[in-house]
Amino acid sequence: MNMLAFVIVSACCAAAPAGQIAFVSGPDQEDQCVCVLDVASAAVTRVGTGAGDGAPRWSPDGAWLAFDSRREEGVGIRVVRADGSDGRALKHKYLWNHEPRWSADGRRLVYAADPKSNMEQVAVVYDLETDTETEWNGGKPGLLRPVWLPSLKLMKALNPDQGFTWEGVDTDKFVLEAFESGALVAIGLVGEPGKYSTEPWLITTSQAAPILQLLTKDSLRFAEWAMEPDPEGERIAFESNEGGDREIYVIGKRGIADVTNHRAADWNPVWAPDGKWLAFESFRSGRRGVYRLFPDTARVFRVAVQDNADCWSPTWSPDGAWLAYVSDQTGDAELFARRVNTEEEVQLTHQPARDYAPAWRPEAKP
Amino acid sequence: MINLRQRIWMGRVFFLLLLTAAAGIEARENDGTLGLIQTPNNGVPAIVFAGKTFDAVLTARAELKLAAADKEYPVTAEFAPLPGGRYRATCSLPPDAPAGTYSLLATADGKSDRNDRAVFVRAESPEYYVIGHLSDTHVGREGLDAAARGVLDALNQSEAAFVIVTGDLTDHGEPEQYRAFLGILDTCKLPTFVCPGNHDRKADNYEQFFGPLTYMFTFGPDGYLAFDTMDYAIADDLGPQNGLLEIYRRALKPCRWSVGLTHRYDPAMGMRSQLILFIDNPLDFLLFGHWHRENTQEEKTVPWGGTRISVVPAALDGQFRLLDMTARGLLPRPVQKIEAK
Repeated sequence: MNMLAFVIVSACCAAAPAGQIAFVSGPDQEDQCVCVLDVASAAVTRVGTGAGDGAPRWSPDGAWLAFDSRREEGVGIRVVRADGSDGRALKHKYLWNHEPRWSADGRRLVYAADPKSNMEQVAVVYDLETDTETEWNGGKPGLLRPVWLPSLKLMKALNPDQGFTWEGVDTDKFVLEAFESGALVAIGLVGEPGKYSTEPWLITTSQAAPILQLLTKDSLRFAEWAMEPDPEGERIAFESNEGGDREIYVIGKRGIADVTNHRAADWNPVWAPDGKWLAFESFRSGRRGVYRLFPDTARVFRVAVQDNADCWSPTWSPDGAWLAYVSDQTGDAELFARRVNTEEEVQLTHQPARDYAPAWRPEAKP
Repeated sequence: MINLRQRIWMGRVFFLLLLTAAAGIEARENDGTLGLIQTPNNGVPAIVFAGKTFDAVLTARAELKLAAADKEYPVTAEFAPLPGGRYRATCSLPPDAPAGTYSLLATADGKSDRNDRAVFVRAESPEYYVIGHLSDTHVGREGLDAAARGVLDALNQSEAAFVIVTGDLTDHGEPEQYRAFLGILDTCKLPTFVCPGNHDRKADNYEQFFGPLTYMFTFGPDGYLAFDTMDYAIADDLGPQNGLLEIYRRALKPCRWSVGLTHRYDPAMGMRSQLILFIDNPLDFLLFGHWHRENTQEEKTVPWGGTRISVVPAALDGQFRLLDMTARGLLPRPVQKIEAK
């Protein structure tokens, strides 16, 4: 009897989304503020500056949020606790600092900083314990959207015996730096003004190496974007316009695979917490919708697709049972969530302001 | 005693007041913002060729008419619901409506609305035509409104088929500045397409006065995509615009030439929008302002290549440009400057 009651209670609890979701909200871009939604009570707490905050990112243990935010001059990174306490603005060398991403141990942030313009961005690592900034890749410009590689498992899997061979790269030093300080993946700007393109790069403190050149000789023909390593660092999802429209590819130990392969654009891959599923945005229904796929088989499932409205910016619940996203189906951008198996939908926010960039708070790992 | 001349004069004043009051009630809302009819309007008009349809977005199902100076033409429309309680009306052009400039009239639930200079009927879809491009009128900046009026007056005398105004319409985006801009815009006899600039960003005032931040239209065999490049150095990949850009860019792929209209190009405008517009399916041309100068020979394309750019100096300095749209592409003529009065 007790077991039956436990099952019923568990089923009821699982029927509704729970936890906390950070997002930005505001009537206009200049007023956007990072907020935290308590999903069960629908209570919203403002934790940002309200002066043009960017998309929030949770630390791996769910204790802190990092986001870029407008300052009197330029844009800088802020970190704050989920209740709004202990907020602080990081000290930067450059005026423009964008899109912070946490290291797996939660001690460092990486972001793109502009010494001159967007095309000249450098990858900057901030050590939160020592309050110091370090420019990776020896400070060389042309690195967009840097993200931490959570482990070096993929690097080892790609070439376990022979060592890496990249023209112009000191591979012994590269591997040594990666093992000592970790590694990043970023989008590198290649070519020259008027003929720029993009390519995925592996980054260490002093070096940068084109990752696709390990796997294909065709790496410079297409423009890649949005490198997203899975939580274990065993696979990397990214976008490429190979084939004439944007597709999602996955690099794993067996090589590269096009996992979306549709004539409509597919973009913005987001790994589930267990690293087995990818959520993404696709236009295959005609509008912008949220889908999920199982990369091992490339099977795609609809999650949130509307006839007359768009759904975007998916984020997984910690248990992987729900996806939250933004939709303008009410005429205004609000947050919604769908249970991935049943497509049951819940409207999470009901604010007059526009709500964007949801990020579900991860559960602290023991 | 009031003599006959005074009576005639008073009668004229009364008639003018009546007209003004009527216009205030019917055309847009009393404060100049959009009402029952969202689009088309005098900043996002519909240019319709014989036998074609045009779309209107309304806040309710309404009875629609086209109104010329001397006659009204009932419009048949099919309504489809949109998010937020709005409706898209696919409107058939009345077969007896001759080429010309029309107001769109709407009546619903006892409320009426009128958007002037909203629908332009044209007899033929041209292969060759001329575009008028001005930018940065900064209406509200003291003493400079005359320059914008002068530029539009010069464009009225030109062979332009339509006019685009690429942002910084106002100096601070205040409602009174938008109202002043509308007063100047309506001196133009041609269709006028506007998009927002960084100076126009004040709450959602731009949307209240002109509606969508992102839209597309076709003219002849060519496609045009107006979009918002947002504020400085904030990569806006968060909102709805990127999805609309992808949908519109796809819709315009079959066009002979594709032309982007925006306030400025800056590599900091957000990478997603640049992937859509300049890398995956590059626009052929991009027209913008913001720089208050024209582009140099070294600034012929966006850094990704492919998309050629044409930048027009500020209309507040009395400057504008005509561009020839031909089978060889969009050919900018030299910048023109009106004489200061």
